[in-house]
Amino acid sequence: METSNLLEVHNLKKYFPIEKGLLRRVIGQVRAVDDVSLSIPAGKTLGLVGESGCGKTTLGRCVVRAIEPTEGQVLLRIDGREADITGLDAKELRATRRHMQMVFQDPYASLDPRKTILDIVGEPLRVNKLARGEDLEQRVRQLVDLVGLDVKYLKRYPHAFSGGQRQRIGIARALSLNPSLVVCDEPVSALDVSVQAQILNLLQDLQAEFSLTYLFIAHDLSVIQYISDQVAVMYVGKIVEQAETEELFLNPKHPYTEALISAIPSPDPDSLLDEITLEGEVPSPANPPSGCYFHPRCKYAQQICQEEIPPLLESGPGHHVACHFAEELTLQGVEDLEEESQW
Amino acid sequence: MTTDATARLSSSAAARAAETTAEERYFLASQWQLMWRKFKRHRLAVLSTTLLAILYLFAITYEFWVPYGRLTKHEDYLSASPSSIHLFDSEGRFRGPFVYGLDGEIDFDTFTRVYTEDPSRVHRIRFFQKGEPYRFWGLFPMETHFFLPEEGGVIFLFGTDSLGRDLFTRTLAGARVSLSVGLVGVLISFILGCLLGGISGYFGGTTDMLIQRVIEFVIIIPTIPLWMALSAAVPPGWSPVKIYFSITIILSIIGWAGLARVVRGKLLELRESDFVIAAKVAGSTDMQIIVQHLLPGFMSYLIVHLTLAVPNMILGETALSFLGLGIRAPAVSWGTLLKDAQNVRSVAVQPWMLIPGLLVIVTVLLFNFIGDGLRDAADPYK
Amino acid sequence: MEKQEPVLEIRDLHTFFPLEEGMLKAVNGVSLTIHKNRTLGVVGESGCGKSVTAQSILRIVPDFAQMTGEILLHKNGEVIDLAALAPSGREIRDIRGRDVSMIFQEPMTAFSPVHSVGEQIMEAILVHDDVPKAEARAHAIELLKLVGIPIPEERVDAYPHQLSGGMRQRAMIAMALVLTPMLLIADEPTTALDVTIQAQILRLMKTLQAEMGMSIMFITHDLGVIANMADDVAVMYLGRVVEYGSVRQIFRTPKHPYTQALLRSIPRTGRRARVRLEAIEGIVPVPLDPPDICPFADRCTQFIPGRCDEKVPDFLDIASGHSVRCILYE
Repeated sequence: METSNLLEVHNLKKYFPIEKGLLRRVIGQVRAVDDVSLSIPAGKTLGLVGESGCGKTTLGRCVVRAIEPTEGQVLLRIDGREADITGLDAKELRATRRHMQMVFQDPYASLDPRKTILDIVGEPLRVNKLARGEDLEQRVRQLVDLVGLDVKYLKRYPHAFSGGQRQRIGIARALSLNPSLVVCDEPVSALDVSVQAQILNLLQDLQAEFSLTYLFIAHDLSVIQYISDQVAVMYVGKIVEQAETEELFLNPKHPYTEALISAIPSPDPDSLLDEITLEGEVPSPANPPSGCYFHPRCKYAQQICQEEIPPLLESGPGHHVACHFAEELTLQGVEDLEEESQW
Repeated sequence: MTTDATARLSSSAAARAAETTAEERYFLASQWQLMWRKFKRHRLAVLSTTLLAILYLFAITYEFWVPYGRLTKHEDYLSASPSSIHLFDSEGRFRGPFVYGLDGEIDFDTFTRVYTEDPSRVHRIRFFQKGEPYRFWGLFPMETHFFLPEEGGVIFLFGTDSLGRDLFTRTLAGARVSLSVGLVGVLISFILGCLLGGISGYFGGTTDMLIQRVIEFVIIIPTIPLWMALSAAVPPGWSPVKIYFSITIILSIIGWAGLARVVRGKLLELRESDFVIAAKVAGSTDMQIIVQHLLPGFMSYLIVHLTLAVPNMILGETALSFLGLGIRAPAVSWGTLLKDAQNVRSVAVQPWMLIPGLLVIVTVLLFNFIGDGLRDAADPYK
Repeated sequence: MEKQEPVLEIRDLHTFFPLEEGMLKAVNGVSLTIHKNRTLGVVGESGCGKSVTAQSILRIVPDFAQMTGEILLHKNGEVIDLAALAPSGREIRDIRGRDVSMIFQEPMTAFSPVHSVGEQIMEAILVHDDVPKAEARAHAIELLKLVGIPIPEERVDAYPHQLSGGMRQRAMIAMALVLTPMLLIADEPTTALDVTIQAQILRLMKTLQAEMGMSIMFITHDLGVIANMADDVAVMYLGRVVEYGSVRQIFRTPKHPYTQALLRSIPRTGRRARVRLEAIEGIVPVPLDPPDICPFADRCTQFIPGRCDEKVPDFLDIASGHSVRCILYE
C-alpha cells in the first residue's frame, strides 16, 4: 500500500505573516495550512473538502509549489523514484513541474484573455521546449480534441467560449505535459449545474485513459462523494478526518464531518435538512480557538476539547480522525447508499 | 459544438450565416482588435484622435505651412491684427482669396498703431509660392511656402506681436516644441515608471517599500515650486536644445511617480491571477511570464495613463515658460508666446495674442477625450 | 390543497435589453403566481432570466430595458399593476420595502459601507414610519435578534465589513423584514455562503416565514436548496418557464426533458455513486435574439426535427397545478 503512493505530503505548513505598520513588523501568523499529512495512491482521487478559508486551496497550491510552503515535505513518485518537490531549486523544479499540473476554479481568470487557444494549450509544451511549430499545433489539436472541443476553434480567443468550454481548455492545458498528478481546485464550482456533469465525466474519462492521480479540492460534498476514492475533511488548516469515501459518508467519526453531511440540502423534497445544523462560524486561522479548533461549534465538546489539540489517529482501517472522542461517539452519516430511483 | 446546433435550428439560414461570420470575426479578434472595436464606438475620441493627428502633422512640418520665418520681423506691421481674407473685391468681383494692403497710422487716443485696409491694393494669395528661404527641420534648404500673398502684400492669419513677428508662424513653431515636450516627457516617465514600478511590484519586500516611499515623497512635493526651483538651476547660457531637454526631464521627474504606481498595482494584480500561476506551474521562467503575460496585460492601461499624462506635461511646459523659467527666447513654445500676452493691456488691445492659449486648451481637451475613449477600451474583456 | 390566495401574479412578462449585439430577451413571456404564505422556488441556470424576473417585479432593471406584461400585486383586496407604475415614482418606492422586499446574493451590495448596520436598518424604518429615533433603534435591535445575530445590542453599531458573510446575510434579512413585507424576494441568498452557514440561513428563513406569515420567491440554481425551501417550483430556461408544479411534482414526476436531465445530471450524496453522470450536452445558451422555437431544443435528447424547431411549445396543464412547456405533452 505504502509503496504505491504517487503523492505523499508530510507535515506541510503554510503560514502567512501578518504585517503591521511602516516597517512591516510581523505581529502574527495566519496558519492557512497547519501540519497536514496525506497521501494519494497512484491512479486514485483524493477529495479534499472544507469550507471557505479552511486552507484547501492553499494546500493544493503548496503541493505543486505554485506558492512556497513554510515547512514540510511533498514527495512525488516520478518514474518509480520519489522526488522531494519541496527541496528542489528553481531549475530542478521547472524540470519537475511537468509531472504535476493544476486545473483552476475560475474558468475566466485562469486563461490569459490575450492568447489564442493554441497559445494557451501549447504554452506548457513551448516553455518546456517539447514541441514547436507544426508539431506543437498537431499536439495541441489532439489535446483539444481529447477534451471534447472542436479543433477548428484553435485560433479563437477565450472570450469566444462559455464557462464549461473554458474549463475544458484549462484541462487540455493541464494535460499537455502528460502529468501524473493533477490538482483540481474546485474545477466545477463556477460552472452551471447542467455543465458540471460534463466536466466531472470528462475528468473521470481522462483519469481512466491516462491513469491520472487527482487531488480534487471542492466545497461541495456531493461532488466529492461522486468523484473521490478517498476523502479528507479540512477545518481551519488541519485535516480532521480522512477515510475511504463510502466509509466517511456512512460512518463519519468527526462531529464536523457529521455536521457537514447533515447540512447538504438534498434535491429531494422529502429528506428535509437534518437537525444538526451547525451553529456559529468558521474561526479565523489567524486566531484559532484553543484546543480542538472545532470545539466552540461542537455539540459533543467537553473540557479536554478546549485544552488539547486532538492528533489525527487511525481509528479503523484507513480511517483517520482528529477527535478526542472518536471512539465513543456514534455519529450519523448518510442514511444508506440507496440505489438510483427513476421516474 | 453548439454553434452547429444553433445553425441547424435557425429559421433563416442566410441571416444566420452572415451573423456567424461576424461572430467568428469577434471570436478571432485579439486584444488590440477588441480594443479598437470598443474605441471606435467612442465617437468623440475618434474625432479627437483625427484632429490631434492633424495638429501634430502641422507641428512636425510647420516650416512649409507658414508664410514667414518664426523670427522674421515685419517692422511696418507691429501688433497688427489678424488679416481678413476676402473673396470679392470692393466692386463685388470674384478675385479668389486675397488680402488688401494695409495702411498703418497711430491712434492718438490709445497710442497704438491701427491698420486699415486699402481697397485699391489687392494681393491675391498664391499657393506653393517661393518665399523666404528656410531650412526644413533645420536641415534641408527650401523656399516653397504653402501660401503667400502676391508681392507687396502681407498676411498675418493670427496677427503679429509687438515686434512685428507673424503670430501664426510662431504658434505653429511653438506647437512643435510644446507638443513634443509632452511626448518626450511622457516617454521618459514611461521608462522610469515602468522600471521602478516593475521592480517595486515584481520584487516586493523592502525594495517595494523603499520605492513606494520615494513615490509618495515625490507626489507630495508641490509641483510648480519644484519645477521652478529645478528650472531656475538650468544655466541661462545653455543652448535652446539643452534647455529644451532639461525642461522635459524636469517635467518627467514628477510624471513617473504616478505611472510607477499604476505599473506596480497592475503587476501585483496580475501576478496573483490564475493564468499567471498556471504559467508558473507549466514551468515558465519569470522572464517568460513577464514578457508573455504581464507586459501585454498592463500595456493597455499604461497607454491610457500615458495619454492622460501628456496634457499635464504640455501644461507644465506652458506654465514654466509663461513664468519665464522654461523654454527661453529665441526658442518658441506656446508658453513663451503666452508670456508675451502677460499684461492686461495686451490682452485688451491685442486679444489675438491669446490664440496660443486657445490651442493649449484645445490640445489638452483632445488628449483628455482620447484618454476617455482609451480608458473605456482598455479592458475589452469586461 | 387548501384554497390559495394569490399575492403576486406575473402575466406574460417580457423584459428585453436592446444591446449592440442584438436583443437580449432575458425574460421572454413569463407567467407565475406567488401564493400567500407559500414559497415559490425559481430554479434555473445563468442566463435563464430568473434574476431579471425578480428585478422586474421591483422595477429595478436598468432604464434602457423594455418591459411589457402585467405584474399584479394583491394588497388588501386591491390589485396594483407594478409593471404600469413609473420605475422611480412614489408608488413603487412605497411598495419596495413595505410590501415587497428583496435580499441578494452579496449582502455587501445592499449595505452602504459608510454607515453602521443599525443606522441603515433604522433608516429603513424611519423612511416609512414616523417614530422616535430611540424606538427605531430598539426595533432594529429586536430585528437583529430575530434573525439570530448574537449580542444584537453591540452588533447594531457594527459596520457591514465587520460582520462575517453569514452575519451580513442575516443583517440583510433583518433590513428586508423591517416593515413585515408580504412578499420577500430572495435572489440566490445562500450561494456565496458555506454549506453549514447556508443551512442556518435556510432554517432562519423558514422560521421567519412561519412566524410572520409572508410569501417568499426564492431564486437559486441549486436544486437541493429548492427541494428544501419551496412549496411550488418554476423551472426556467432561456427566458421562459418550462415547467411549473408543486415541489413534489417537480422532483418526483418531472415532465420536461430539461428538468429530468437536470435532476439526473447532479451528483447526490446518499446515493451510490454511478459510474457516470448523465450530463446535458452543449452549453448554456445566452438569450440573444433566440429563435422562436423550444428553448431547450438544441440540447434535448428527445428533439423531434420539424416539431420542436417549429414554434415555442404551449404551456400546458398536465395535472392539477402542474404545467409543462414541451411538445411531447401537446
